[in-house]
Amino acid sequence: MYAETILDIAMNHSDSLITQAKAGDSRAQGKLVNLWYKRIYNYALRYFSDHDEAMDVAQRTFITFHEKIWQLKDSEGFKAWLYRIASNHCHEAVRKMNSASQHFSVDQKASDVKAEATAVFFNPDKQFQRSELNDILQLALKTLNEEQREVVIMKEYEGLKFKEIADVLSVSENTVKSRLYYGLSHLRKVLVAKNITTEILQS
Amino acid sequence: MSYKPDEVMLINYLYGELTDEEKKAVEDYLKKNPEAAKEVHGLNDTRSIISAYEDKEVIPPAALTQGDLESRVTSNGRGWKTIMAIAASLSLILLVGFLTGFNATYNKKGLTIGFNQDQKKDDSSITLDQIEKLLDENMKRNLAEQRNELTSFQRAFQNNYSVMMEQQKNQLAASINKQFEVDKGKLGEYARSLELKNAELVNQYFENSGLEQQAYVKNLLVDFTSYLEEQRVQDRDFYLNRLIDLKLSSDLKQQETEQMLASIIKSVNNIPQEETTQNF
Repeated sequence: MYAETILDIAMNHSDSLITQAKAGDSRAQGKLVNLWYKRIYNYALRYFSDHDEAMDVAQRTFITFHEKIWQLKDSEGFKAWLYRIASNHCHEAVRKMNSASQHFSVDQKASDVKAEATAVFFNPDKQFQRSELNDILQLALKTLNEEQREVVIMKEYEGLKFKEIADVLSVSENTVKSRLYYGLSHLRKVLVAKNITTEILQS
Repeated sequence: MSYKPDEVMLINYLYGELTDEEKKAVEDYLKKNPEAAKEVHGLNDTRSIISAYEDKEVIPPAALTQGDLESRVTSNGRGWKTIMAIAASLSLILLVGFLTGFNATYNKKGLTIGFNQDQKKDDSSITLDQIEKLLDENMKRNLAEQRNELTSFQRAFQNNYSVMMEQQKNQLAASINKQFEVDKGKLGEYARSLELKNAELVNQYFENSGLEQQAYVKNLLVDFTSYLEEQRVQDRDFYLNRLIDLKLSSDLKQQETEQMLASIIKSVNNIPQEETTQNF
């Protein structure tokens, strides 16, 4: 599902850049930010479905990156390390949201999202629009619980290996796979309820 | 005991992470269990559908890509510490001043600093209102002076500008006139040369044209004479032929007539004598 682009190839073959960045080379650090910023932003965007929150998490992630790059043990673990930082900032942001509003608990938020998601149906008679599908998929992702959502995003959109996801979340690979299974099952139900099938998309 | 793959195994199957043996076992199970096969197929479809959710483009903030964030973060920390240190020092000075009865006055007599002194109510001391008034007056005066300066400057500028514009206008007009005179003479010469050239060209044209016409008419006359001569020869030949034909025809007629006469004579001579007599 994850198509590798030239940018992905550059990201996955930047060992020397990472080594230079670790050694304190500010230009190498800047290049790494340029390479990875879009990925982290989109990870956070799918996690929160909110541009401002995604920008905030992306910026915090790369501030931490600048502060702690020297602590990275090996270049191979850079991807998992960066996503761990992003994931931690996402969790922190959720905690802040929950504590900021007593009347806006996670459960309530989830139920609101479900209501919002079920209110939007995909109309096959209407001319297909990519942005419309993006919106629906964004809402569908929001109906997942956080654990399932982050695993689905990391696997399906960020192309992380099961071992990398397990490292990022500090859980076993089987736990990752189990969360992914139930996450995809849930998404399937939501998409069927919205009348979105592969046949309709292909037509 | 029947084999049933758990969700981990099914995910491994979906993501192609099984050995051949495991894969065959899962496929056999799915063949026997259409519901499970439908579920797995549905999960695969879901993966395909959600992959349509496209990335959004974003530009990283320049501050993060310039790479000197760490130093700025550190320097910001130092700056904060410095500000806190200054604030603490000021607080300490104020506290000490308060405890020691520090007093400072500024008036026409000058600056007075003292400790533990009752501040004398001096008529000559300036109150806050007076300072404000003085400041206000000063500002007004400065403002008025600046306004006057600005007005006079504007006026002077306008005058200078007008004079300068007038001078430039005159210079420009003189320059144009001078140039016009020069150009006028040159233009006259040019026009005369053009006129002569045109006349020459027209004469040449007529000359050439007359010669051509003359040659043309001459050729035409020659052609016409030749034509007439030829026509005359043809007519002559025609009439000659006609005359020859006529002569031949009249000769033939004469021969025929002669033959007829000879025949008649012969016939008349052959008639018997008695018949001739009886008849008379």
